[in-house]
Amino acid sequence: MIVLLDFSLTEISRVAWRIAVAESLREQADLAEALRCHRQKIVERWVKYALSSYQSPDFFLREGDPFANPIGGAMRQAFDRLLPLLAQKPERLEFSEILRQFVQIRAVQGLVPSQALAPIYAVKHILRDILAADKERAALVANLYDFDFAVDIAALAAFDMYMESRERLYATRLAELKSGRHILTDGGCPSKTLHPVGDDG
Amino acid sequence: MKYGAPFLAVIALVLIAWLGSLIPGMQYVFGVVFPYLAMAMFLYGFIRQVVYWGKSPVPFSIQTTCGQAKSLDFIKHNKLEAPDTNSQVVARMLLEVLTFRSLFRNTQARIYSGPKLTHESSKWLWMFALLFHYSFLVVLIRHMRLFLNPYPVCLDWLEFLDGIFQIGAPNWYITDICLVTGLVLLLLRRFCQTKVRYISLANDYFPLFLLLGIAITGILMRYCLRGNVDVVAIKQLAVGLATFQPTITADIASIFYIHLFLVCALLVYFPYSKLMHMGGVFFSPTRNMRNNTRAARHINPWNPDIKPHSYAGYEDEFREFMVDAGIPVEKELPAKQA
Amino acid sequence: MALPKLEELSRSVAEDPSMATGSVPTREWMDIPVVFKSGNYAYPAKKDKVEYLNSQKGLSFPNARVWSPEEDDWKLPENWKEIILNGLKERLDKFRSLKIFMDCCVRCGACADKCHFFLGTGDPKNMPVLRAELLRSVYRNDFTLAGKLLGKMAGGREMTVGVLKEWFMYAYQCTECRRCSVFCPYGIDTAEITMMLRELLHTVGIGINWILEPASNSNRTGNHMGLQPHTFKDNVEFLVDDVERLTGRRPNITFNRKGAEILFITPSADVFAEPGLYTAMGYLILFEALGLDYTWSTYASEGGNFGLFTNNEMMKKLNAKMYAEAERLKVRYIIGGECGHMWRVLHQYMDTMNGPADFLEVPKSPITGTVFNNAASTKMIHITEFTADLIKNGKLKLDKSRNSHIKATWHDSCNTARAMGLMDEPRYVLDHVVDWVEMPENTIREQTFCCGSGTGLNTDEIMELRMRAGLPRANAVKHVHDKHGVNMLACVCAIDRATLTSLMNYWNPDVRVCGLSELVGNAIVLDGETREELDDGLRTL
Repeated sequence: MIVLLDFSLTEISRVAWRIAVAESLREQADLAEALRCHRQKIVERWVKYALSSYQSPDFFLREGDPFANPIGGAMRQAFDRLLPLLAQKPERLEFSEILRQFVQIRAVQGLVPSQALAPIYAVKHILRDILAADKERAALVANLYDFDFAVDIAALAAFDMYMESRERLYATRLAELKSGRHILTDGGCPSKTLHPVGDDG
Repeated sequence: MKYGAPFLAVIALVLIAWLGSLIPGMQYVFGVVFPYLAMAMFLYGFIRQVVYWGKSPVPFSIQTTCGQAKSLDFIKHNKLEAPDTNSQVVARMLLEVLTFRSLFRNTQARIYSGPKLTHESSKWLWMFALLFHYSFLVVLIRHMRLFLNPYPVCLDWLEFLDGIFQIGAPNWYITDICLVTGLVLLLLRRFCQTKVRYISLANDYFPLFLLLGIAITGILMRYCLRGNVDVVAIKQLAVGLATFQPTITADIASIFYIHLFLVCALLVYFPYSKLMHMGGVFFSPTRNMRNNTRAARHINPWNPDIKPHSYAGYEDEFREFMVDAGIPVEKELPAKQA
Repeated sequence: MALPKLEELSRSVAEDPSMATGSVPTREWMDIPVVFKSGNYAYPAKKDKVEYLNSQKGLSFPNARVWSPEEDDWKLPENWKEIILNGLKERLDKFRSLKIFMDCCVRCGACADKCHFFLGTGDPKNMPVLRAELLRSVYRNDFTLAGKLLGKMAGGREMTVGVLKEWFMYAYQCTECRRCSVFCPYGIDTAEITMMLRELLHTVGIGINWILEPASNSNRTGNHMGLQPHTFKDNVEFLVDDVERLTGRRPNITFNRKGAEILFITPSADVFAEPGLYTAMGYLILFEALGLDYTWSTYASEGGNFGLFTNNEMMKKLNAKMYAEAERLKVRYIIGGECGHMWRVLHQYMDTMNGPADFLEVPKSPITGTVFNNAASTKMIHITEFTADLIKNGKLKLDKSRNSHIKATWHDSCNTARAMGLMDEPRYVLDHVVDWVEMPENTIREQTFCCGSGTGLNTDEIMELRMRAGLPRANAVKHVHDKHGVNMLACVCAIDRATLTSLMNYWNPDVRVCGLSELVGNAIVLDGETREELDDGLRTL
């Protein structure tokens, strides 16, 4: 009896679990579908939001050539590639690759770190806004826990990248110093050396 | 306001001419005195500005090379973009002045296209500029029939070509439409492109409004208010102005005086404004110089007399080190004292 | 419902707009003051440097003092405004280019997105047109009728300390690369504007140390590094040792030798800092392969000329050493090494300033007999012209496979491309020594992007600014790196070799930087060499 009960309980929980998995898979699929459907709009607004922190975003928005417009180009590419991943199981490494250039740019633009990475979080709000406006999919808004989690993972990956970029910048500085060119400004000044100097070899 | 004030200024000019020409006796002032005055100020201002530029020398040869320079025999020389002779410079300048070559260059290959981008072709500016400038030129030439008596027959050909589509009555000229279109597009560009809007000054809007005013009054005269406009009287006045025997024989409609007054305003404004780019483009040292500065010496009239820190001074300071290091010196070290 | 949150997010992070941040400017550019803070300006010149330069005959660097851009009071001389306006008048009378460039701009905006500083920072005042307007507004106010009558209505504004500070900020965020001038319908060249701004700033004692110190070093010791003659010689000899170690042949070199056929002058960075060192080794191998009768000079040991970034007097004084030394040593002509701004000076200024060089002969290659008529007057040729001619005539034994570890791309240096027209000679040489690909079309030749650190802006205190400004170039390199596996960025400019290295370190760590002559030197097969397999060419340890 007990065994039976136990069995049936296990069975029930297994079924429940299956249902839950199916549910979550379906939701995941729904969300992916929603992102596919609104991809353009979301990326558009996301990029616009991120670019609004520059003084002349208009140019960055319009110019489509990545060579004539590296900032706008890099952002658009990064967000466009990042978005579909946010509906899947997040892989941190993948995020890193996608966000690399975006973060590299933000890391040298005189922004404080929070400013630099804030645009990544913006997609949470943008997505909610867009879903809410979409009658068919408005229900999805209530269940964006996984999506938010993926955004958080992406932001954490970006944080690592940001630090890596800053460290590389300082390493570059050091390399410049080591390469000997500091002699340009740290060498004895001419007026000083006009006075007789000892033989320095 | 950067565009409000210039707009109002043009409106004010229109009102002045309109009301002024209604006052008896003022027709002569608007029809004869102002045009002469304006022409005189234009010529004086234009020449003064060119002389002002000419007075400053060109100390250095600072051409911008936009292609391969003349070099070794087997390296193909780009004669237009890095001219080596005067005729090549002339060719470069002609292309620049007649076809706005540098603006045309404003092209960018778009390799990557993200999700739905508003692509703004970089050739727009070039097209707008060409449209406006050439229409304006043709319109100007067409006006010569008013000033010349008899007028050369080529003006007839030009008018025939200009009106070849035979639309409307009286027949619409293509250039009239293009002129206004060009101006409106150039204006819209200033309004709509944030970047251009941000750099625009009142001095950029004023000439656009003024030219639009001139074009619109001209078009109104020809196509809409034709009944009120006595073309014979205008021709008489124009020929009179050109031959220094001006007469106003009949009442001419105010619209004509408005048109004429705006043209006068343009003439007066021209030499003191950015419109002088018309003359300046010929003077631009980055375009009108030969790229042969290593083959032929360019002379700077005020070349200052500056000598380098002398070798003698250098050797005096470092002689000991130089001798130690086995570097030849001009003056040996003094014999060591015991 | 979600939007307010988004705004809150922005507010929480963007309350402190810096030069490259902040929202869309809602105010006119004239009303936005500059803010100096650590990292967005290069350090001011040290007082004793300015005093030293001021003491030199023919130079004027008045008002030396200790000052800081971050302080409100820049300790300007009392009559600073008069000095500036008189200085501007003087320059208008001396340079037609200045008058034309002040009067002709129609603000069409064609230049705006052509500037790498604008592309990298997004700061509207880095659009070339606005950079020029900083000066033009003052010119209009004080030197044109319209400006005098209408003032601000005509786009004029009074010269104030705020304007002066703006000049300092943006005259040192321009590398005088001339890319904008290519696209301007009137050929307006922002480099000219920047030069004038810098000249004017020097008259009131405002300059940066990274420029004035090398300039004073160069004046005294002959080179930017301040290397004294024996040290300079030692440095070149180290390179000779390295070449011998790698190839088994020891290049024969001489210094200050009278009667040599050719005087060779190159930027001193080539004998001092990586990766220029390898380029210099390339020169040594090339000349050794030819048995060229040439000499180095310790007195004229600098090809570069920081005077170009200072004022025309300084440029002339530093440049004059080359002819003076050529005359003293009684050489026939001069070969110049790989450098960008050096070649702008040599091509467009040297003959005018310090010629005619009657005591020299029209350059004629002793190996091929080719006469370089394009340098008939200056008597100075570019090493790349010299090398291309050698290759064309089959005088060099080259083994391209020695560069097989390299997939190169070519960076046209701003000055050699847009102020000289040296574009196809290096490509011809590349074809013969290495496997290489072009970067995208609108980033090469006359449309090449600057390294972002030229004109004396290659100092580490503005590293972030340099990385921003170099982004357009780095981005094009990234493209060929990703697409074609490019691992070497070749160029003919000493500043590039130093600054692109840093730029690549940051943006594309897998790409290294080299001079053209390094690739040539590595490919040359020397007679009697005992060279082993060098898997990293001349860089093999």
